[in-house]
Amino acid sequence: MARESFDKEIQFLRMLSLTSGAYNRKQYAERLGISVHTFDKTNRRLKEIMQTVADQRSGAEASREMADLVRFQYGESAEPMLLFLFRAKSMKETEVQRLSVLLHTLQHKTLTAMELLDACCADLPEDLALPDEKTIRSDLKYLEEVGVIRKEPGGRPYRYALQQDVLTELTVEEQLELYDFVDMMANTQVPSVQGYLLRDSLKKAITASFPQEEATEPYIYKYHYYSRILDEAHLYTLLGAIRQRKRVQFLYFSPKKPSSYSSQNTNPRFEREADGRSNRIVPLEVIYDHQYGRWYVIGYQGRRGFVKFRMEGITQLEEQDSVEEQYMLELKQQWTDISRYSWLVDTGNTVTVQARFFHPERGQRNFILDRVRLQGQWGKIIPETDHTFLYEIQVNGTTEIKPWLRSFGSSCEIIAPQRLRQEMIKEWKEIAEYYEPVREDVQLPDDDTTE
Amino acid sequence: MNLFEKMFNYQMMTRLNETGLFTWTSQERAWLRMMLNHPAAREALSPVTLDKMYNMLNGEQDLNLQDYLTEKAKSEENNVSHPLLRQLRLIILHHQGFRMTGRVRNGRTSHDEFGFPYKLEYSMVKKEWYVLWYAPRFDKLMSTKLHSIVTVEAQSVEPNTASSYTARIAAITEKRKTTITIEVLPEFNQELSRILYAFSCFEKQVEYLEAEQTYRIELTVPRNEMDYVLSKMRFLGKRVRIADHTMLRERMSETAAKALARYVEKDPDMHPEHSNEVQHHQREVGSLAKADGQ
Repeated sequence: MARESFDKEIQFLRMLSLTSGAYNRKQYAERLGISVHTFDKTNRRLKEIMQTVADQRSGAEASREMADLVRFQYGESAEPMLLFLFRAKSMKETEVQRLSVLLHTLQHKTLTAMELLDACCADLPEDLALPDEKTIRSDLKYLEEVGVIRKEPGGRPYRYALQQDVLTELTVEEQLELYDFVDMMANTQVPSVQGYLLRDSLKKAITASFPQEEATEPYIYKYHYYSRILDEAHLYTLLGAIRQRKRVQFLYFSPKKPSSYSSQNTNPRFEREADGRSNRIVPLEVIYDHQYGRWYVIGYQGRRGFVKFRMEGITQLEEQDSVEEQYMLELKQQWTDISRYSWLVDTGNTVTVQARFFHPERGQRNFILDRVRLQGQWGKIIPETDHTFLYEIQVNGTTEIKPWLRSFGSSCEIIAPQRLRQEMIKEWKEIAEYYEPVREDVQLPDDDTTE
Repeated sequence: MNLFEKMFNYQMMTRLNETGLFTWTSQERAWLRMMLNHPAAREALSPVTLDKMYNMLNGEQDLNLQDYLTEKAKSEENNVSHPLLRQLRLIILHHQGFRMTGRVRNGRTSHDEFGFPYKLEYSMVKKEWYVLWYAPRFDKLMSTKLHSIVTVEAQSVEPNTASSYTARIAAITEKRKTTITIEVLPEFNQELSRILYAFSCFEKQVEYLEAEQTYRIELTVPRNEMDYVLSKMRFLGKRVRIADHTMLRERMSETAAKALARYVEKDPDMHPEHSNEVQHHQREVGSLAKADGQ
């Protein structure tokens, strides 16, 4: 099957979901590097698909703008609308008809290819040309390859059966249990697209036994980055290439500019990301960043050494020739060594960061300590006084850890290195200036939650 | 593995749904098999179901993603599932209420409270499950960590009463929402992608003022989630500023003053522009109590 590229759709959806409402169509088209005409066409196509998929659930209004349709609505559902990207592949109407008749026919009994051919001839609408045996055999081969049907044991002529053990071997209650598990895992783990697809099918299956809406939407997840699923489109190509030691080539569009942390890299051996041009790399590892919900691919690129690319900028990804196993192993080992202390992907010089954390007011749960434990990666926590503790970590460069430390506000004081301490002081001064003059007498109302 | 398989096509799906036909591909099975290796599987699935799943998926491909895929800056995962989820999800499914005894702050216990649960919420940040419920006695929406629940027992609710609760829940949820406008400082526009990714977990609307080349992000959040927004603001630092919310502007200003005060005693060379740290210091202690964000 021809490999289809969804680069345009991915960039399009990402832009809509991230910047929803910011630009008019001309501005969007310009930023995506496509014509207004192409923008409109893509918009129409995606909207049509979206509505076909969405209508069955919520009866989405036809008049809603595309940007509204992909907008994240917390609390409504744990189902990401962006999933429909993976449903957008175009297919011939005849093929859709044929495959669905085949599957429907197999729903209750096992059949041979010839019996299926007969069923197809009987069931397809009259205006469609009747399929021949060869077509049916190749359809069956495809369905078997993707694992939707299987050949039953026994000799020729083979009998085919639908793979639906989940429905036949699980009780109704167990199906619900499984649905819950899939919902949880798809929403909390990466990768998740297959999980969301499975959740979708299970949802249909259990609705027969549990028609209430509460059956399928009891869970919500805050605050997760659901746009991450768009980049899973590249994930398996990259993982496959790493597994088979293949080089890959792609066109890279830096999201505006390289971020400050990679540009501060001073070691010429580990250069920073490249802009808007063709790249050929030996891919070594894929990294998912939980801080921002972004994907990176790490590779080796001849003279430029180790390179890092954000998956959001990758288009026209193609597999190429393979490299020697020994070479790949060496590169992987080198990368493992230099990235051992990377908070995310920074490979700058290793420094020891030391920070003092202040406990919250007496009598309160020590949520500061809890959070440092939960998120502090490999850093060490050293008790200090009754109201403080120290946190120490070796990291490659301080740029990537800085936002995390800063997010603790005045509960965190940087001790070392001195440069980071000075930077933090400078930043707090600048932030203070943003909010001058300050109005007094304002208090947050009590929130109405209990624990 | 190709996520763009014909089987996932929307027309196929629509057609198959007409008769409630269930199909699953080996990709989905391989994914599920991988997830069954996660410790959460033993908590979320009963031994019988788990056993059936293992048998069903035994022959599937093993993805081994851990060799190629690394997750960074992840919160440690204590629990993805929780033993009480099952019971609570069935209560929600059947539109029942519950009587709950739980631990509240300062080691006290709340006794036998009646509530009507409506959602189970997982915090990706704290890695904790919460039950969201309505307390008719106070006409309030509550959120309780499953770990703090000692006992919970289903209690039947008349259908009419249940639907009146559901209506109240929707009304209060709507009323609790508030909007916060955040401005990206134009000199950081080139970092827009990063900033928008950081805010992509919120309901939001972005506005671009072309003349000033300024992006404004309008977030819609429940009022009790403001501390999380503040934590995100501190995370992004000087790239962004709260444009319109007096209360939050005040909080940011206090945080900055208090943070600077942390440094001033030990770095005598540092002269903060603020003269009122002491006053801020006192008030910040109070507001920090809620600064349990990210």
